[in-house]
Amino acid sequence: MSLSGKDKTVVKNFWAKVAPKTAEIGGEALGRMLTAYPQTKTYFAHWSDLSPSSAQVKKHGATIMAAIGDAVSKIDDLTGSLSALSELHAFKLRVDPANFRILAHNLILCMGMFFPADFTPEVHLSVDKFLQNLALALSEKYR
Amino acid sequence: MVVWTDFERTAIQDIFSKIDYAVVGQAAFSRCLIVYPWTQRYFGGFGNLYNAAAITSNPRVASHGKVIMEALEKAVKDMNNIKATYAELSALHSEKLQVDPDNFMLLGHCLTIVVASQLSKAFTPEVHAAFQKFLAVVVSSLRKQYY
Repeated sequence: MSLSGKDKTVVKNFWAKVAPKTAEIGGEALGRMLTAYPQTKTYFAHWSDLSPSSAQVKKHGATIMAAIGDAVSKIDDLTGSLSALSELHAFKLRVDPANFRILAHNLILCMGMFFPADFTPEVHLSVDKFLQNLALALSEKYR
Repeated sequence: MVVWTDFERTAIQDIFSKIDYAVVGQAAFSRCLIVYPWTQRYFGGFGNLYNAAAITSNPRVASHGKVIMEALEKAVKDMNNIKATYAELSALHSEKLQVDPDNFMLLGHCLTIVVASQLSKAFTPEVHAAFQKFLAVVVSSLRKQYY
Protein backbone atom coordinates (compact mmCIF):
# COMPACT_ATOMS: atom_id res chain seq x y z
CA MET A 1 0.00 0.00 0.00
CA SER A 2 2.58 2.52 -1.13
CA LEU A 3 1.92 6.24 -1.27
CA SER A 4 0.62 7.63 -4.55
CA GLY A 5 1.38 11.17 -5.66
CA LYS A 6 -2.13 12.08 -4.57
CA ASP A 7 -1.61 10.59 -1.09
CA LYS A 8 1.55 12.64 -0.64
CA THR A 9 -0.19 15.85 -1.67
CA VAL A 10 -3.15 15.17 0.61
CA VAL A 11 -0.88 14.44 3.57
CA LYS A 12 1.25 17.54 3.01
CA ASN A 13 -1.78 19.78 2.64
CA PHE A 14 -3.44 18.36 5.72
CA TRP A 15 -0.21 18.67 7.72
CA ALA A 16 0.05 22.32 6.78
CA LYS A 17 -3.47 22.82 8.17
CA VAL A 18 -2.83 21.04 11.45
CA ALA A 19 0.65 22.52 11.98
CA PRO A 20 -0.39 24.88 14.80
CA LYS A 21 -1.91 22.00 16.77
CA THR A 22 0.57 19.19 16.16
CA ALA A 23 2.18 19.34 19.61
CA GLU A 24 -1.22 19.22 21.29
CA ILE A 25 -2.42 16.39 19.05
CA GLY A 26 0.71 14.39 19.82
CA GLY A 27 0.40 14.82 23.58
CA GLU A 28 -3.30 13.97 23.53
CA ALA A 29 -2.77 10.91 21.31
CA LEU A 30 -0.01 9.51 23.50
CA GLY A 31 -2.09 10.08 26.64
CA ARG A 32 -5.06 8.32 25.08
CA MET A 33 -2.93 5.42 23.92
CA LEU A 34 -1.57 4.86 27.41
CA THR A 35 -5.09 5.04 28.87
CA ALA A 36 -7.07 3.04 26.30
CA TYR A 37 -4.33 0.49 25.52
CA PRO A 38 -2.69 -0.09 28.90
CA GLN A 39 -0.26 -2.67 27.52
CA THR A 40 1.63 0.23 25.90
CA LYS A 41 2.50 1.59 29.35
CA THR A 42 5.15 -1.11 29.62
CA TYR A 43 7.44 1.01 27.45
CA PHE A 44 7.22 4.02 29.75
CA ALA A 45 7.65 2.44 33.16
CA HIS A 46 10.48 4.89 33.83
CA TRP A 47 8.11 7.87 33.87
CA SER A 48 6.48 8.95 37.11
CA ASP A 49 3.16 10.02 35.60
CA LEU A 50 1.46 8.20 32.71
CA SER A 51 -1.84 10.02 32.85
CA PRO A 52 -3.07 12.12 29.90
CA SER A 53 -2.37 15.32 31.86
CA SER A 54 1.24 14.38 32.59
CA ALA A 55 3.86 16.87 31.46
CA GLN A 56 6.14 13.99 30.46
CA VAL A 57 3.42 12.53 28.26
CA LYS A 58 2.59 15.85 26.62
CA LYS A 59 6.23 16.64 25.96
CA HIS A 60 6.95 13.26 24.44
CA GLY A 61 3.79 13.42 22.33
CA ALA A 62 5.05 16.71 20.92
CA THR A 63 8.45 15.15 20.21
CA ILE A 64 6.80 12.29 18.32
CA MET A 65 4.67 14.66 16.23
CA ALA A 66 7.71 16.80 15.39
CA ALA A 67 9.44 13.69 14.08
CA ILE A 68 6.36 12.77 12.07
CA GLY A 69 6.20 16.31 10.69
CA ASP A 70 9.82 15.96 9.61
CA ALA A 71 8.89 12.69 7.89
CA VAL A 72 6.12 14.51 6.01
CA SER A 73 8.71 16.90 4.58
CA LYS A 74 10.80 13.90 3.50
CA ILE A 75 7.85 11.85 2.33
CA ASP A 76 9.64 10.70 -0.82
CA ASP A 77 12.22 8.77 1.17
CA LEU A 78 10.78 7.62 4.46
CA THR A 79 13.16 4.68 4.85
CA GLY A 80 16.23 6.85 4.38
CA SER A 81 15.10 9.74 6.54
CA LEU A 82 13.96 7.46 9.39
CA SER A 83 17.07 5.30 9.41
CA ALA A 84 18.47 6.64 12.69
CA LEU A 85 15.10 6.50 14.44
CA SER A 86 14.64 2.96 13.17
CA GLU A 87 17.91 1.93 14.75
CA LEU A 88 16.87 3.57 18.00
CA HIS A 89 13.52 1.75 18.09
CA ALA A 90 15.05 -1.54 16.98
CA PHE A 91 18.11 -1.82 19.16
CA LYS A 92 17.62 0.49 22.09
CA LEU A 93 13.87 0.91 22.69
CA ARG A 94 12.87 -2.45 21.22
CA VAL A 95 9.26 -1.45 20.77
CA ASP A 96 7.14 -4.22 19.26
CA PRO A 97 6.13 -2.79 15.87
CA ALA A 98 2.50 -3.80 16.46
CA ASN A 99 2.36 -0.80 18.76
CA PHE A 100 3.06 1.62 15.93
CA ARG A 101 -0.38 0.77 14.61
CA ILE A 102 -1.97 1.48 17.97
CA LEU A 103 -0.31 4.89 18.21
CA ALA A 104 -1.26 5.63 14.61
CA HIS A 105 -4.90 4.92 15.44
CA ASN A 106 -4.79 7.34 18.35
CA LEU A 107 -3.07 10.02 16.28
CA ILE A 108 -5.76 9.67 13.64
CA LEU A 109 -8.47 9.83 16.27
CA CYS A 110 -7.06 13.08 17.65
CA MET A 111 -6.72 14.56 14.17
CA GLY A 112 -10.39 13.76 13.62
CA MET A 113 -11.30 15.35 16.94
CA PHE A 114 -9.32 18.53 16.43
CA PHE A 115 -10.18 18.99 12.74
CA PRO A 116 -13.53 17.26 12.16
CA ALA A 117 -14.35 19.18 8.98
CA ASP A 118 -10.94 18.70 7.35
CA PHE A 119 -10.38 15.08 8.33
CA THR A 120 -12.64 13.67 5.62
CA PRO A 121 -12.61 9.94 4.75
CA GLU A 122 -10.27 10.69 1.82
CA VAL A 123 -7.81 12.54 4.03
CA HIS A 124 -8.13 9.76 6.63
CA LEU A 125 -7.25 7.20 3.95
CA SER A 126 -4.07 8.99 2.86
CA VAL A 127 -2.96 9.73 6.41
CA ASP A 128 -3.60 6.11 7.41
CA LYS A 129 -1.45 4.93 4.49
CA PHE A 130 1.25 7.44 5.36
CA LEU A 131 1.43 6.34 8.99
CA GLN A 132 1.53 2.73 7.88
CA ASN A 133 4.46 3.47 5.56
CA LEU A 134 6.11 5.42 8.33
CA ALA A 135 5.74 2.45 10.68
CA LEU A 136 7.28 0.22 8.05
CA ALA A 137 10.24 2.58 7.67
CA LEU A 138 10.57 2.67 11.46
CA SER A 139 10.64 -1.15 11.60
CA GLU A 140 13.24 -1.36 8.82
CA LYS A 141 16.23 -2.10 11.05
CA TYR A 142 14.53 -4.60 13.37
CA ARG A 143 15.79 -7.75 11.72
CA MET B 1 -16.70 -12.93 32.60
CA VAL B 2 -16.24 -9.28 31.79
CA VAL B 3 -16.28 -6.98 34.76
CA TRP B 4 -17.53 -3.44 34.10
CA THR B 5 -16.90 -0.63 36.53
CA ASP B 6 -19.74 1.80 37.20
CA PHE B 7 -17.82 4.43 35.29
CA GLU B 8 -17.48 2.17 32.25
CA ARG B 9 -21.16 1.25 32.23
CA THR B 10 -22.26 4.84 32.52
CA ALA B 11 -19.75 5.99 29.90
CA ILE B 12 -20.93 3.45 27.32
CA GLN B 13 -24.61 4.04 27.95
CA ASP B 14 -24.03 7.77 27.84
CA ILE B 15 -22.30 7.60 24.45
CA PHE B 16 -25.12 5.60 22.91
CA SER B 17 -27.75 7.93 24.34
CA LYS B 18 -26.00 10.95 22.81
CA ILE B 19 -25.35 9.74 19.27
CA ASP B 20 -27.73 9.63 16.32
CA TYR B 21 -27.57 6.03 15.06
CA ALA B 22 -28.37 6.96 11.47
CA VAL B 23 -25.71 9.69 11.32
CA VAL B 24 -22.95 7.87 13.20
CA GLY B 25 -23.73 4.53 11.58
CA GLN B 26 -23.53 5.97 8.08
CA ALA B 27 -20.39 7.95 8.86
CA ALA B 28 -18.53 5.05 10.47
CA PHE B 29 -19.53 2.38 7.97
CA SER B 30 -18.84 4.54 4.90
CA ARG B 31 -15.50 5.61 6.38
CA CYS B 32 -14.58 1.94 6.85
CA LEU B 33 -15.42 1.12 3.21
CA ILE B 34 -13.38 4.12 2.02
CA VAL B 35 -10.33 3.86 4.28
CA TYR B 36 -10.11 0.06 4.15
CA PRO B 37 -11.41 -0.67 0.65
CA TRP B 38 -10.90 -4.42 0.92
CA THR B 39 -13.89 -4.47 3.30
CA GLN B 40 -16.06 -3.75 0.25
CA ARG B 41 -15.71 -7.41 -0.66
CA TYR B 42 -18.62 -8.25 1.62
CA PHE B 43 -21.01 -5.74 0.07
CA GLY B 44 -21.11 -6.70 -3.60
CA GLY B 45 -24.87 -6.25 -3.68
CA PHE B 46 -24.79 -2.69 -2.38
CA GLY B 47 -24.58 -1.01 -5.77
CA ASN B 48 -22.13 1.79 -6.51
CA LEU B 49 -19.11 1.72 -4.19
CA TYR B 50 -16.78 2.97 -6.89
CA ASN B 51 -15.34 5.97 -5.10
CA ALA B 52 -15.62 7.90 -1.86
CA ALA B 53 -18.39 10.15 -3.17
CA ALA B 54 -20.44 7.15 -4.31
CA ILE B 55 -19.96 5.38 -0.98
CA THR B 56 -20.87 8.47 1.02
CA SER B 57 -24.10 8.98 -0.90
CA ASN B 58 -25.04 5.31 -1.16
CA PRO B 59 -28.42 4.72 0.53
CA ARG B 60 -27.75 1.05 1.24
CA VAL B 61 -24.54 1.98 3.02
CA ALA B 62 -26.46 4.50 5.10
CA SER B 63 -29.20 2.08 6.09
CA HIS B 64 -26.74 -0.68 6.87
CA GLY B 65 -24.75 1.70 9.07
CA LYS B 66 -27.91 2.21 11.12
CA VAL B 67 -28.48 -1.57 11.30
CA ILE B 68 -24.98 -1.98 12.75
CA MET B 69 -25.59 0.68 15.41
CA GLU B 70 -28.89 -0.92 16.39
CA ALA B 71 -27.10 -4.26 16.75
CA LEU B 72 -24.48 -2.62 18.98
CA GLU B 73 -27.27 -1.20 21.11
CA LYS B 74 -28.26 -4.76 22.01
CA ALA B 75 -24.92 -5.15 23.74
CA VAL B 76 -25.29 -1.82 25.51
CA LYS B 77 -28.68 -2.87 26.85
CA ASP B 78 -27.29 -6.08 28.35
CA MET B 79 -23.63 -5.51 29.09
CA ASN B 80 -23.32 -8.54 31.34
CA ASN B 81 -24.28 -10.93 28.54
CA ILE B 82 -22.62 -9.66 25.40
CA LYS B 83 -21.26 -13.07 24.46
CA ALA B 84 -24.75 -14.63 24.57
CA THR B 85 -26.30 -11.62 22.82
CA TYR B 86 -24.03 -12.06 19.81
CA ALA B 87 -23.98 -15.86 19.58
CA GLU B 88 -26.35 -15.86 16.62
CA LEU B 89 -24.71 -12.89 14.89
CA SER B 90 -21.33 -14.54 15.34
CA ALA B 91 -22.54 -17.71 13.61
CA LEU B 92 -24.08 -15.57 10.85
CA HIS B 93 -20.85 -13.66 10.21
CA SER B 94 -18.85 -16.87 10.24
CA GLU B 95 -20.99 -19.33 8.34
CA LYS B 96 -23.18 -17.26 6.07
CA LEU B 97 -21.41 -13.96 5.52
CA GLN B 98 -17.91 -15.44 5.87
CA VAL B 99 -16.36 -12.23 7.12
CA ASP B 100 -12.69 -12.29 8.13
CA PRO B 101 -12.95 -11.37 11.82
CA ASP B 102 -9.92 -9.06 11.56
CA ASN B 103 -12.29 -6.70 9.79
CA PHE B 104 -14.40 -6.21 12.91
CA MET B 105 -11.81 -3.99 14.57
CA LEU B 106 -11.37 -1.95 11.38
CA LEU B 107 -15.03 -0.96 11.66
CA GLY B 108 -14.48 -0.49 15.39
CA HIS B 109 -11.66 1.98 14.68
CA CYS B 110 -13.80 4.00 12.29
CA LEU B 111 -16.67 4.04 14.77
CA THR B 112 -14.36 5.29 17.54
CA ILE B 113 -13.05 8.05 15.29
CA VAL B 114 -16.56 9.19 14.31
CA VAL B 115 -17.80 9.11 17.92
CA ALA B 116 -14.71 11.08 19.02
CA SER B 117 -15.33 13.72 16.34
CA GLN B 118 -18.97 14.01 17.37
CA LEU B 119 -18.52 14.13 21.14
CA SER B 120 -15.27 16.09 21.06
CA LYS B 121 -14.06 17.04 24.56
CA ALA B 122 -16.73 14.85 26.16
CA PHE B 123 -14.88 11.86 24.70
CA THR B 124 -12.18 12.04 27.37
CA PRO B 125 -9.30 9.54 27.47
CA GLU B 126 -11.12 7.63 30.24
CA VAL B 127 -14.36 7.46 28.24
CA HIS B 128 -12.28 6.48 25.20
CA ALA B 129 -10.72 3.64 27.18
CA ALA B 130 -14.17 2.39 28.25
CA PHE B 131 -15.39 2.50 24.66
CA GLN B 132 -12.29 0.66 23.50
CA LYS B 133 -12.92 -2.06 26.09
CA PHE B 134 -16.56 -2.32 25.01
CA LEU B 135 -15.57 -2.74 21.36
CA ALA B 136 -12.97 -5.35 22.29
CA VAL B 137 -15.66 -7.36 24.10
CA VAL B 138 -18.06 -7.01 21.16
CA VAL B 139 -15.39 -8.13 18.69
CA SER B 140 -14.38 -11.04 20.89
CA SER B 141 -18.01 -12.16 21.13
CA LEU B 142 -18.43 -11.92 17.37
CA ARG B 143 -15.35 -14.11 16.94
CA LYS B 144 -16.61 -16.75 19.35
CA GLN B 145 -18.54 -18.92 16.88
CA TYR B 146 -15.79 -19.04 14.25
CA TYR B 147 -14.10 -22.40 13.91
